[in-house]
Amino acid sequence: MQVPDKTYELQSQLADYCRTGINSLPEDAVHPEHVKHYRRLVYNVIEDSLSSAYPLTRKLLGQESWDQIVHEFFRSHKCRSAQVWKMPGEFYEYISEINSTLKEEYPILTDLLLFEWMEIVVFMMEDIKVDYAEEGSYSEDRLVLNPEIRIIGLNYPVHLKNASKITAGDKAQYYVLVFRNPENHKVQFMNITALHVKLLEYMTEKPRGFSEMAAYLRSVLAPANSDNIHAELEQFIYKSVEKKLILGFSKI
Amino acid sequence: MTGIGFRKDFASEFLEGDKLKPSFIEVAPENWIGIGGYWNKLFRKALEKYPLYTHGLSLSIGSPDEIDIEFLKKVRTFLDENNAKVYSEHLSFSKCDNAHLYDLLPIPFTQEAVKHVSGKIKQVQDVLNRELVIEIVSYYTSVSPEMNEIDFINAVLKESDCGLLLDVNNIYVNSFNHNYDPIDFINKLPLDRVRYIHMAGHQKVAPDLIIDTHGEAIIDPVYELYSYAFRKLGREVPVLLERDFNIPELDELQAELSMLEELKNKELIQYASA
Repeated sequence: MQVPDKTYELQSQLADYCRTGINSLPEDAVHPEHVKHYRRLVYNVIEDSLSSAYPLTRKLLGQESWDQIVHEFFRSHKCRSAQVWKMPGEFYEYISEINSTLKEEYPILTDLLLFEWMEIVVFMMEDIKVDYAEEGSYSEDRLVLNPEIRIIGLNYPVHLKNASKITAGDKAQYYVLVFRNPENHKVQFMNITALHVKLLEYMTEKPRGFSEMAAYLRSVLAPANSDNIHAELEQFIYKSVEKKLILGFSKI
Repeated sequence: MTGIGFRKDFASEFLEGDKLKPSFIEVAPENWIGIGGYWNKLFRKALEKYPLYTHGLSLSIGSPDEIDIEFLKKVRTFLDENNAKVYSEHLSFSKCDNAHLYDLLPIPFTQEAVKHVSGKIKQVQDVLNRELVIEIVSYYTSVSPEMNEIDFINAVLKESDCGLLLDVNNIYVNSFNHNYDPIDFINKLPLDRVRYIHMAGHQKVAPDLIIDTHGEAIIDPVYELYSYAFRKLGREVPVLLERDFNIPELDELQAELSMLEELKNKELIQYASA
């Protein structure tokens, strides 16, 4: 169902003007002093959504740089999602993919955006039903992991330090577990190690028992590092149950 | 029946208290499709108490682009699963050249557009297997019109055979911005197609321009136009109070809902006794 050329051209020119500010509409086609309101209204939606999604990034960049990058994004990127709340995810993707002097000036920029975006993703994600029993045995039953989680890898500790205090010296490999508390629905963050990532991926496949997890950890660790496996696993499980990362038990 | 837009801004206070007593709630499917956690919990709680009416934002029925069928199917599932009484959308476009703009742009009032938009409305009605109810939007400039607004709207309604959402505030705003008589405009509409009414406030931003903000209380001239619409309709139609910004205390919103109910009942009683 193709719209005819003349109508299409007018709509395309108006939409382009709203995105870019370049008005190629014929003067006699519109009420010139009113057409600017469309650009203002459209841009306000974009800016409001991005400011709400990325308050830490906006604060780090300052108003001028923030406005510049938001304008550049909206001018250059064609927003794909019909759901406006998902549009900030496209902003993160856009920034990740472009070469920008802003990324040189702020090496933590993409990490900070990812960190903020993941909070939204996990807060908004669809409910995932999983069966588990609240009572059980840590030694005999399998443990059921909260399925409402995401794991992200970062180069800078944006989850641990104020963004403005992070320096080049902080650069390293970080992992963050982002998960939603099933009772109060709040999003929580946990700084985790590469080993935790492997363990969580293992637990995500299906509920695992304590000895099964310990054996798995021994298989991925060098023998010299396996001495305290039981104690470390106990500590991780204790903390995970407390934080509702482990929901309960699946009977073997 | 008078309903209220179910907004996250006041969802919790609304559900926990008894200040606001609408007959139904309205949501934009886009804002609730595929959402879990806290908001889903509140939405489910609201659906236990209130019937659902829906008002889409992103279908972009007037777009030169093809209808996003994948998205439309998600809308259909949402409407069916939540027993939505009405699905309405805007007679405008919000997407062009595969780029969403997230606001309502005016369709050029051309014969070509009538044909194109009507075809798309029919397509949507086929996919959804239900009537689409189309809202007359407020606009701040027309774009190379070949016909006037009322002729454009009536042509689309006739050719697509869809329902009409009578947004009384939009008619007031448009009559001011484009210098026509709103009563005459309402008289020329096919009122038998009206399935739903919207009422809202607006903001005058220049001596010759009103923007449809949904951020202020309804003003008296819009209430008067609303009364006139019911005088002409002579039948019950669900009415929705829209308030998207600058949200007041809930008892102020309830006062507006009560006023809408009172004015409507007054006109319908007079109509019945005439």
